[in-house]
Amino acid sequence: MRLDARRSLRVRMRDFAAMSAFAAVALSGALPIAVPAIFALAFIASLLGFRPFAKQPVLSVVALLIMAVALFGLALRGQLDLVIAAVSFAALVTGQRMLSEPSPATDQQVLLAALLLMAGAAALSADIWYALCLLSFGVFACLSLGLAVVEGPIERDEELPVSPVLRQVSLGVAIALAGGIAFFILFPRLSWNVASRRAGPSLLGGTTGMTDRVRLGGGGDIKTSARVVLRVAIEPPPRNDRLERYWVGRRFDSFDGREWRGTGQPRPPRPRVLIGETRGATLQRIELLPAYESRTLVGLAQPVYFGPANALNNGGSTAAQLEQVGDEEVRIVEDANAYTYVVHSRDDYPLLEEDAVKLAALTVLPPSIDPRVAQLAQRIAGNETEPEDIANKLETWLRSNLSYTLELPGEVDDPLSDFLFNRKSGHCEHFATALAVMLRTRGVPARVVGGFFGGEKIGERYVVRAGDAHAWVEAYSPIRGWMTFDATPDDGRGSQPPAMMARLVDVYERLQEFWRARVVEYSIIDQWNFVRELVKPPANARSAGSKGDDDPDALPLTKTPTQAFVYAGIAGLLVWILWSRLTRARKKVHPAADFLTALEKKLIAAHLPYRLDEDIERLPARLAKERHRLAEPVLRASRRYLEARFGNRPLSGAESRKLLDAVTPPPPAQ
Amino acid sequence: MPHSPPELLQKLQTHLGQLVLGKPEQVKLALTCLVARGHLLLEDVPGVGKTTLAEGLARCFSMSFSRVQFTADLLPSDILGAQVFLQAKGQFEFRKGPVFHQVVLADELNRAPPRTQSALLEAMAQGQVSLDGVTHALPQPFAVIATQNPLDLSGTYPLPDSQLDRFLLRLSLGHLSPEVEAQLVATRRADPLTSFKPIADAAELVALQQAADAVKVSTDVADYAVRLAGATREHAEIERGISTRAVLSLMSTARALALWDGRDFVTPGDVKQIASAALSHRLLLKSSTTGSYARDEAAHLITELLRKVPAPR
Repeated sequence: MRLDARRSLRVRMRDFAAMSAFAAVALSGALPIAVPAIFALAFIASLLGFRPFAKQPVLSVVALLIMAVALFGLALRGQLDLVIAAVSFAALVTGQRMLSEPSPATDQQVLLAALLLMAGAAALSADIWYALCLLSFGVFACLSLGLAVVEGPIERDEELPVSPVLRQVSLGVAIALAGGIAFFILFPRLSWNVASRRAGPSLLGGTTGMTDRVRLGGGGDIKTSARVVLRVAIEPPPRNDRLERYWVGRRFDSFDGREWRGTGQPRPPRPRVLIGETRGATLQRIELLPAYESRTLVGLAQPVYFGPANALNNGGSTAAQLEQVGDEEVRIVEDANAYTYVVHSRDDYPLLEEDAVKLAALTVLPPSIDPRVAQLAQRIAGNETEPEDIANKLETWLRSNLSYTLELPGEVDDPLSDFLFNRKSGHCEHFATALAVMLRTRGVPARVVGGFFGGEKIGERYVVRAGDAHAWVEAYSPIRGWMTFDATPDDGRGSQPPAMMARLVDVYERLQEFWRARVVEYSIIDQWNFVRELVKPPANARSAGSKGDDDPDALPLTKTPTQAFVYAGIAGLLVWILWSRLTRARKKVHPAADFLTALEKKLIAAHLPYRLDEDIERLPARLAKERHRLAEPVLRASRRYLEARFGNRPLSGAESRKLLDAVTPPPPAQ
Repeated sequence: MPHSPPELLQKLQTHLGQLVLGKPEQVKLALTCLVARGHLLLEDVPGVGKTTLAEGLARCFSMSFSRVQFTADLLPSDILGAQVFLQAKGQFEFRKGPVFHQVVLADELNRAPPRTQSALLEAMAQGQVSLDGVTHALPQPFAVIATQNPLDLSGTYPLPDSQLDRFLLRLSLGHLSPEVEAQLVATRRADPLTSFKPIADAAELVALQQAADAVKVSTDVADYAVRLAGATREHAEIERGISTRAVLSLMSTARALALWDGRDFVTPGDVKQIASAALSHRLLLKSSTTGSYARDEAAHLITELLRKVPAPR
């Protein structure tokens, strides 16, 4: 490869490294939109070889000053986070240097600025995409630096094969990465989260099913999302791998014709919330993943007790406070990335005294209600008076006469009558709203419940996906208390992601989980445990499958120390083979050289090291002059070595042993 | 009774050692130089045995010997010979000059003007003398031993580098150690050369030269010599490193040296042993020193390079 081609390859590698670093920052989604735009422009310009800042120091300084003043001005005025301003500035500096003279010195500046970007990205997001960007940054930066090193001594325009160099550099990168991982696992970890920000919604975006209000007619394709929003360990474990059960999130009691909302007032925060009798309850350890994007706690119908909760942020977990809002929901006070908590549920509703005022509020109809709704309800309910019967009739009618669809109508004036009389199809929120409103027209207190329906077993735990989000109705009967009704046809419950998508998402979730548990939140305690598991047999303290109560994340350790040692041995062997092959490929060792090595060892053992400028050819002469006891055998060995090495008279193993034995030092004097 | 090369060489060294006392190494190298078909440059102050060594070398092989004292008015014809008009025959006849001997001692070579120097050096390079369109072959084996006084440079014509390059080895004898000198002073009476007997003949020298030609050089050793040469070319203090001719003469000397141990192959040690004598006069240094000081400095640089360039093992 000639000089020009080498140079452009090097610059391209550098640009890709910078792009990887920038991607890590951009994926956090925190940068002002102008910064990615400018950087993308700079990247494309640099790829095309357009370098306006080459040999323009004044222009460069002016451009950087303007950017610095703009960004830090915004930061000073409080319109921009300081860390984000700094990262943006680093990104702009990177872009500016990319458009400068393409010399190795500039490369180093670009890579240094890109390194700052990586550091900034670590503060802004600890997403799994960050790992990918870091990897690609490392690889590209090493390749670019490797090429720059080659370019140093060979600046002439000559044909030079680059692939062996790149092969060597790639090997170095691979070894460095392996070393980095080992270092990461074994070097005592320091937590450095001073600058860490709450992680954003990440690349796939927020996918919550849980909002503060349920608005009819809005857009959404949530049913097809396979993203896992929560993971649950259930005790006692259910028999089925697919749970056909409701997960209660929050209740909505007020409808204004367009959207449902809650009216309850928050109570003071507490570490635990007790709602009803917990005897015989099902215990669930729930982990709300970052994709959940809400602070509302869910539990299997019907939750009676919410236990201690932890808020997980980058770097650690802290105890979280719970606040109960009316009868509607229990939510976590702290804002965090993810949460873990414990909830107890019973199949029946907790026995609560419902006062008349509250019940009356649950029969309030929206002021602008279409009169046809009440007529329809009356026609269906006939002369039933018992709330349960009315609800059953309405539920049956809605299920059989209206169809489920995910195609949303868009904004309409009266979504309810549009659903009932016009489109005659809708999704769960439409069905739930219709049932609740029609019950209210018959004087039955009813409310809409938002949550999830379903859950499937993956590994040791059950997962609930964003697509499992569901809405249903609770109706009150003075005799029976609260009852659950679901007007949505069966095909509309649970998530319906395409199978392929579900599988991909599972892989992604697992990776994400691994990244979070093993990298982002990998603490010195985990390191300690890792090392302890290596050196100490796990006795019977930890049996596979049961997890520590305090750590629902803990993966069961199935590797025994013996296995670990075997793996370490195999890895060591592989490294040794690789190393010896590499060194052998680099330099062919003459068979006689081994003899010389052995001979020199013997000489050192006999306290006969070489002096300055001495070698195996000259040593015998000195020994002869000194009348050393070993002069004769050393001379013989030396002559024979020279013959074998340079005179093409190979040395047999027996002969070399004989010669070496003759050089054996005298036994120590008694 | 024919001897094996190492025995013969040892015998010659011992024999010459009686003549040139206390200088076994220099004697060994001088013999090696003859065996390698090379010419020898002896640089030293007067009176340390240069002439004795040269004549001894000639005598012990019972080869013909001539000595030319180079002076500022020496002409090429004084060395090469000239056409002389013979009155009796009425025609010109070529009268051979002193160069037509097997061993020619060119004493104080640098005192003659360049034209005369180059006449000798041409004879050294070609092994023949061309005069008036007639080529006269020189007797074989042929060797020139030149001496120079490196300190007294006034009124001299220093040899150009290209001509220095024609000498295979450059040696200096140096003063004797006090013990040897005392022994010499106590015992020596007459000129030892008068009683110095040959112990070999020219045919044996030719046999040695052929044996040296048969010595093999492995690729590793050749590579080592080339790396050494390359290192002299890249050294920061050396203006001009050694030429390819110099590497060739280095290896031919190393081959001759291998005969001393009875080996039929060259080792890196041979190259190391000979490098300073074979290379130091061929380097052009950047420093401004001249004469023997430059040689000493060059010899130091060669030693440094021998330490730096890894030998094959």
